[in-house]
Amino acid sequence: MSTLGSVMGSALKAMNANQLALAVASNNIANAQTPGFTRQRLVLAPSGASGDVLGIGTGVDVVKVEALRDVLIEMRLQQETSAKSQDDALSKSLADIEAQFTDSEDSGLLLSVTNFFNSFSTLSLDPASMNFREQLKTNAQSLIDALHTRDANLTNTKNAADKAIVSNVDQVNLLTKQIAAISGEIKLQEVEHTANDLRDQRSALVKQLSQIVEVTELESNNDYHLVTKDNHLLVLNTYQRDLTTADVTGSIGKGELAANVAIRDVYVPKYGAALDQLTYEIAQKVNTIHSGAYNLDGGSGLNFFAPLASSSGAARQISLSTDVAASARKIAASTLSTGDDNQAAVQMANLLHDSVFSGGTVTDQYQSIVFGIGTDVANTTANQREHDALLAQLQNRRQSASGVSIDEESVQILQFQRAYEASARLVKTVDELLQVALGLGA
Amino acid sequence: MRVTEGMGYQNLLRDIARVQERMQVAQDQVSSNKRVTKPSDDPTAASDIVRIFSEGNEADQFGKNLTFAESRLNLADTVLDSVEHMVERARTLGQLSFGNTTTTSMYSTELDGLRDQIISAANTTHAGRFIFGGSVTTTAPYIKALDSSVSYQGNSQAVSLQVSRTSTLQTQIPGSEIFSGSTNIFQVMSDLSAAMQAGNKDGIDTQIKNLEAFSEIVSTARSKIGSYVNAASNVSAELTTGKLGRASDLTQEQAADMAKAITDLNMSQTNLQATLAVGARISQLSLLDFLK
Repeated sequence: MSTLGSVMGSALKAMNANQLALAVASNNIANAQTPGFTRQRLVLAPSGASGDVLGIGTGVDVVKVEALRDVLIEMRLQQETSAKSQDDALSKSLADIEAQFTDSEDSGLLLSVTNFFNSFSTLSLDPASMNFREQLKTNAQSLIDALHTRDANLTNTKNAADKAIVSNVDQVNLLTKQIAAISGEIKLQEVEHTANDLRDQRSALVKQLSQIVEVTELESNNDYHLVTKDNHLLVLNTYQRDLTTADVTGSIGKGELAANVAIRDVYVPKYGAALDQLTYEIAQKVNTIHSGAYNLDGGSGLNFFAPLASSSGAARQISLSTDVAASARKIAASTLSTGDDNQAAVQMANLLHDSVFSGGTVTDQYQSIVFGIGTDVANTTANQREHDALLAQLQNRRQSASGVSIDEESVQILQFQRAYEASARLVKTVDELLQVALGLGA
Repeated sequence: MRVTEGMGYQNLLRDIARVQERMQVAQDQVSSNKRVTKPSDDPTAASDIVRIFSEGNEADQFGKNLTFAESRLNLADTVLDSVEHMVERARTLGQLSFGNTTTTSMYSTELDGLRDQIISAANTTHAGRFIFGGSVTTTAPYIKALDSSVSYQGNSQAVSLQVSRTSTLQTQIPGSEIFSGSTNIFQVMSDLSAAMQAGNKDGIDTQIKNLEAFSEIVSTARSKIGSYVNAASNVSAELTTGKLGRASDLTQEQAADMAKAITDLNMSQTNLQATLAVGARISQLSLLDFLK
């Protein structure tokens, strides 16, 4: 049989529960703009029936404080964060490479190439002219400088990517250390209750980590695993394993790290090789004609460019041959042994439009480099847009599931305030009844 | 769907960024009048543009070569024209000396003078280079020795230039094909002068015939030069056509559609205004305002 005392007890429990609910709401409001915060909710349950015949309940129990976290969205969010930051990093470095191959009417590598070949054409007007010979040398040097600059800039991009990989790996290790530490605390706390705030913190760290490298979180049998896509263990509960630069290969998951690896191992080598090939072929073709032709002193067999052993490193190594560098008279413009006609100069000038390069003409070959880098950058930009849109959508979904709504919390406050007031009222009522009951015996 | 304040702000930020990016693109297009400024803007167009630049540079060079060739050919023509007149005068002098022996020495002096003039004509330079010496351009092709005999120092090389991808143009006819070819004008003139001084009528007659033969050679050379100049102006016309074609190709590939770019700019401006106005309203409404 229900006693006044038990009614008093359930009223007290209700006051307690509503007060807690207000505390949860106030915590939610306080953290409304905290990044990574997941809104929380007090989980209440009826206390169960007392032992009497009617089975009247004994009030409300506070079960736990629950965080409204959607694990699936969090996971997708981490993946998209990785993909997005990979595209961001990639497009930044690719823009550097693209700038090397961006031509305008009055600047660019192709202009240097055409000026160089046109100088041979000018020389053919008057092969005896020292002015034209010096002009050719100047334009050849400009071409060499343009090639060196592009090669150096590609190397810089590569070195920057290499440095970024080292610093990325450091960041990863710093983050995983923090994650391991928090995982330990979560385990300790969760002996008693769900460690919502710590989980939010860990989730925020994992998201930060996802920008650098895509990771998978696994939680089973109270064990917490954090592994990379290519199965390098990073964290197991409180154990943390350092990622090393040796672990970083092309098969590492998406993220900034993968972008830097791609720049270092794929893009820079690709465009570097194309530049080298172009350089090598120009030097080779010019030298072949030049060494068979006669210079102003009637000599023959000299190279125009210092000979290159292979295309590898050509753009870095190319230079004028020592003979031509020493004297412009050694430029061979003539097919006659007297050294005075212009046919060799004409032949070398014609290299500008002759289909003797591996890609067709020298322009065709350069065009394919421009097209290649253009396509790579355009694709990355398109991917970036796509991942941006997906990320935005996921962030909205996360907000929708886990974000704090002030209006909603306000309603909750009202609701629990009224409930608290009602419970307090009940205590007063029971008190009055007790007064009456006590009065009976007096 | 559950909507929270956070979403509103997040979306606002993203929308503003997106509209501003669109506005930036439109603004760039309007101010530069270019749709493609880097390869990634349109890889196909960018690689075509590069080709147009390269062809343009090459054509400019061909244009320079043509101008050079034309001026050299025109000079040669002018020189040969005056040579024709001199030869004509020499023939007249020969004929005059037939009937009148008293003035022979005067005629032969004038004839020697004409011969010297033809030598200097054959040693004409263009831009500092001798044009009748074949590929030998730095030394005079005809040198008059002390005994006043003239020898050829050049070679028989026909000098030509590349004036388009497919055509070359001869710019020089070697003196060995004109002055000292099948008929050596210098020999003919000294022989004529000798015959006149000796009163050798048969000799004069032979040399007059030789002068006529030489005139024939000069006029053949001139018609050759004429045909080269013709070819040059044809190529020049082709170059102009090519230049116009490239200009229109370049516009097609590179130029921004102004009407579209400006419309885009206006639209994105309006869009930004609207976005900002909506953004300002996000925080205006809250349940808290209605609770007392």
